Amino acid sequence: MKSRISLPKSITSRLKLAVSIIVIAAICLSFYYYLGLRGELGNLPPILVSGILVGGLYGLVAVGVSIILGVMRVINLCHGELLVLGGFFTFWAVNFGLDPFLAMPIAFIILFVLGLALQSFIINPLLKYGLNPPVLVTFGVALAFQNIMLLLWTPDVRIIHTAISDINLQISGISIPMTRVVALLIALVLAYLTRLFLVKTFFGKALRAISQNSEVALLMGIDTSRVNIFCYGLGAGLAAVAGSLIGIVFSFSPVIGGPYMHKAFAVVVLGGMGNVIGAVVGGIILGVSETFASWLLGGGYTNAVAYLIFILVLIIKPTGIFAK
Amino acid sequence: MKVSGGLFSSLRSPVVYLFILFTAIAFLIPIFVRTPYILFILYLCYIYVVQAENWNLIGGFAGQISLGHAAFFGIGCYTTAMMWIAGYPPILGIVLGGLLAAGFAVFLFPTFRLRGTYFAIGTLFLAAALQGFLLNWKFVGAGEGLYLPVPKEFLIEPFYYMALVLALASTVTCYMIAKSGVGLTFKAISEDDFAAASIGVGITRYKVLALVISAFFFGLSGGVYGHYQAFIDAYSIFGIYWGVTGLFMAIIGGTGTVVGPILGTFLLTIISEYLAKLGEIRLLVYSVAVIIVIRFAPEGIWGIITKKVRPRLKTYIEKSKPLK
Repeated sequence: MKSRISLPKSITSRLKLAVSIIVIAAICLSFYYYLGLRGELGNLPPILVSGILVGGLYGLVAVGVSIILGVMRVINLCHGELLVLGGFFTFWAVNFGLDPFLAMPIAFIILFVLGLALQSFIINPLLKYGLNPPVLVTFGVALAFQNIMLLLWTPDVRIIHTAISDINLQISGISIPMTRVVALLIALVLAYLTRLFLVKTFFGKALRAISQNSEVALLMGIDTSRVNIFCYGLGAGLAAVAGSLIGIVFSFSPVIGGPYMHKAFAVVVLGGMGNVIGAVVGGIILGVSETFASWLLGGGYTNAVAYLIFILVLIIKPTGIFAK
Repeated sequence: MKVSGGLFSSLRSPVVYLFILFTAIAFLIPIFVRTPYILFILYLCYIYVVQAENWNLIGGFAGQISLGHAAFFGIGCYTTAMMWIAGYPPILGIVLGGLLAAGFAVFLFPTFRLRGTYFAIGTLFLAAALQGFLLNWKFVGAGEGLYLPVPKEFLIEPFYYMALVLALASTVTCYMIAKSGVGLTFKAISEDDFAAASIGVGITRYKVLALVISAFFFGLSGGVYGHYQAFIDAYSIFGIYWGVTGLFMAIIGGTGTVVGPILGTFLLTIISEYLAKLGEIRLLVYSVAVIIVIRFAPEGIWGIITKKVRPRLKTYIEKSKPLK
């Protein structure tokens, strides 16, 4: 009985997968052929590499958004500002004389506590009023944080300097900044740890149960409000690390939160909410397509890629490309 | 016989008479007050009233949180500016701007495939994408902005009356919608759009209707604002400020009511003007106020008045009546 029902389903899903792989391969091949005609094939590897390196960071930003969205169904509109705040804490710790990679855990802990406070005092009591008040309150928190940071610390652009900032790796003619490689590694390790936490621990199990159905989870004896608080803290802490990495690899100022948040939403929609692996893969897809777009069309259109991906995914497959 | 409901059912309410009284005072103010500063603040207030009332139409009555109304405001503003530069009378530009914004809103019906919070992100992306587009479009000045042909004699009074009439028109429109069956349908959609659809309401049609009306008035308000400016650029016009003022004022006053947004507008403007000597903290004041209001009084100030103060007043009046 079971096989009779599940067989057609698996066949159609495999067909879909095969068709999509063929389509993607066809697009890649035609692109490759087009580049061959233009004689610019040599540019392909560096673009791909830098896209992947940037995409890892987008993925880490998106993991936090994705967990919060998956568990509470609340879009955390202040994620970008939490990210910048994390960058600031690392920046000060570095100015204080600490190594940036040691300062990151401190930023993680500070933002974790801040996230706990935000969730338990402001967002949690609003969850019973439906979806709109919590979203709007995170929007208010975002603007408040941004304006406080602008008032206190000016809109200057800051860079976190590290010991490896000046080192470039040379791999078969491609020059890669060492910081980007380290940032990608940290992002991947953190995403993997988050996934391990969600899959292996009892608390992670509770978290996944809530993300599937919070009312039933409550009936099963899970303290949903406590899990929500912890989950928001985790998201904020991940944002802090991502912000520190952005400060090391690129630069940061109080106003950069918005664009990174937009990109994270596009990635979350791409990867499916609450899906850590989907977020990382989606981030890398976004990073690669952005670098390609900026190479083909010019720098003015890099941000448009995220909007385009968001709209296309929501029209074609609203549950994300990795949804089962 | 119809006892309750109908357009003129609440003519007995003191609020309507208060509204008429304040409108009359507002029309007479420029005769007695000659300070351009006060008139300018009131002019801004009326523009905010237009925005708050019309954001309230889609965000409060129909329950669809939009974070991208800056797009409609910007369309009105830019249309007026371009018409003015081309040599047409600006009034024509203002009307055309409103119509263009409404037309743009009609073409947004696919966004209503997005439910709840996804709609909020979609609209946020919409405004950001439009801003990015205008920043790259040479015809409208791209990133350098537009300098408008401002005449030497530039009095505030005509603009004051223009904004006042617009505010009045949008308030009356909102009132009529709230009292009609359309308003009831909007409320049904905001409570539960699946349930509304299941009893035969064409929910997409009504959502688009709400969006088109609010976009039309936002376009007009953008035109009236742009007409008074000497310089406009896409950074500020399509920026976060014009996307959130209407929203914040409507929420603080009380969404889903006609009086609430007006109350919220005047309250917020007065507070931020008093605090203006501390620096550019208008957005900070708005956002902190909105956090406090959503956290402690999700129904807004007018909600508190109608739910808590009015019944007590009634019992007080009844108690103080002499017994027969």
